[in-house]
Amino acid sequence: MKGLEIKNITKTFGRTKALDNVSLVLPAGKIYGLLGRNGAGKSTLLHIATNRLFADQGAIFIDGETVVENDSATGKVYLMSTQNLYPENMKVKRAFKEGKFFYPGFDEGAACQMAAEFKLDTGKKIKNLSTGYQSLFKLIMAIASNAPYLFLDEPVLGLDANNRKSIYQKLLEKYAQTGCTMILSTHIIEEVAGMIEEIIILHDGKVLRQAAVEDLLAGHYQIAGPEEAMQAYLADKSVLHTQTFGQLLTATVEGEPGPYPDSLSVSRPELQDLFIEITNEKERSQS
Amino acid sequence: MNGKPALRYHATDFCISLLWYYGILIGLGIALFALGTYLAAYHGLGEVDVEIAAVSGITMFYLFVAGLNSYKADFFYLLQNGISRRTQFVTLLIVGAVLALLTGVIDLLLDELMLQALRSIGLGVIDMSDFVQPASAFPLLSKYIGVVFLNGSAFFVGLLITTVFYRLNTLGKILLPIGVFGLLVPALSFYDHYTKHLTNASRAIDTFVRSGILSYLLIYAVFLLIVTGLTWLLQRRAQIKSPVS
Repeated sequence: MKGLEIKNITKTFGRTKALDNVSLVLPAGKIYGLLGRNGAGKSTLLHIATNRLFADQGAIFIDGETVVENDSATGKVYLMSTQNLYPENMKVKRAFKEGKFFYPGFDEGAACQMAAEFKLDTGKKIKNLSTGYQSLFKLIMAIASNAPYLFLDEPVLGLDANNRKSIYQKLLEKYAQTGCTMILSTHIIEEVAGMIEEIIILHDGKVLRQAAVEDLLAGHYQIAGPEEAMQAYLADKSVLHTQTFGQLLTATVEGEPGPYPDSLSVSRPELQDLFIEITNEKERSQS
Repeated sequence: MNGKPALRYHATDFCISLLWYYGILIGLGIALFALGTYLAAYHGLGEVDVEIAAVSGITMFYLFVAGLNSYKADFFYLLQNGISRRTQFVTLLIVGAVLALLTGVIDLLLDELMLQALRSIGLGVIDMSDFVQPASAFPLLSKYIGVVFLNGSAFFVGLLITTVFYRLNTLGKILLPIGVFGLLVPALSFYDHYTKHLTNASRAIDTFVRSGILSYLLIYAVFLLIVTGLTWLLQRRAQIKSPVS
């Protein structure tokens, strides 16, 4: 299969179970959003998928090949993580120069061009860059690598709004040009909501949802109206969340709205709101 | 296994480092020679017995430090670029072997040059490889093997030490030196003091090593196999340590 296949991955750090029997199938050529609250296991999963960490159980395959100690599989992936894994004394320009050692399609010219565009000083040591510029540097490496799989963990950490917008544009251009597979792991969901095609929500190391963004949004709705009418309407519905503002009650509901009284109004939820309500609901049900 | 990218990275890294090292060393050698010549010409060295370490001895320390610096940063960087632990280890073996062979040749040439130059002005040279040369009808070959052994061992021992410390947790990092130097070494000393087993074994190995090139190479191979084998055992399950969410 072309794509990423994750089979029953479990990973424990001391007493903490970071991933608990996670299984996913991510066909190639899509932009995925890997969402989850802090400590959900997103980074751990991406680290295991790139052979940086070993799973306690399970296996991960890229294009049918195991990622464990397999240069052929891991060579197809560029993982941009929040950690800086570049040598302390390495300068940006050397990293650009050496990019083609590891990624045959690495475009040094494009990397230098993007660096100039974002005013990234290529003569600086990577460790001396600010958080935002470190993110920019790693994003440039990812985009210029031309790797068929780009895993981006908190890609816009420390970037200002202007640079975030430009970077999303660059990522979309890269996707349009190459049809690469991207996994975006981020907490800034509203900004990537328009980019991602499918989302995976991890919660406490388990897969809570995997669905196409359109299907997920179409499978939920928000409804608001007077409390009395709402109580009657919601009686037989699968309610994720309710909130009262004076006499007005709003609710996020799973499923189709069906017939409802004229006094109520229905709208589609935002992806970020839905994410918050799905994860909160899970926590409520656990407690 | 795709070792070419990792080899290119290591080759670039070590070429730059070696050029700096030998550049500085040659510069120092020339400065020393000039100073010695000046002192001999204008003041006379008289009865002063000055001995300078041979280049091969200095290179051994350089390669030990290079070995110490050849793990953590490279491990992170190569993992970032999709290179597996196995490929990293194999390429380091190749790089270490090439470094030992290459520096062996350069060191012999520089040693000879330095020996002639310094002797001409009355200075002496301490050559550490003199202590570990196998008996042979070919002194130059014997010296070369000795230098390669020292340089290669220094690099791989440095690599093993840095790998051990990377794999240990904080408590382990404290307990290991205490265990080795505070318990193991004194215990072995006491044991040897009463039994002489270790002294006798060491003498037997030394005699065997010096008996010929083949025995020397055999011991060298066993030693390197133990050092690199331990290194691989520790590197094969190494992971990125920083906390991940």
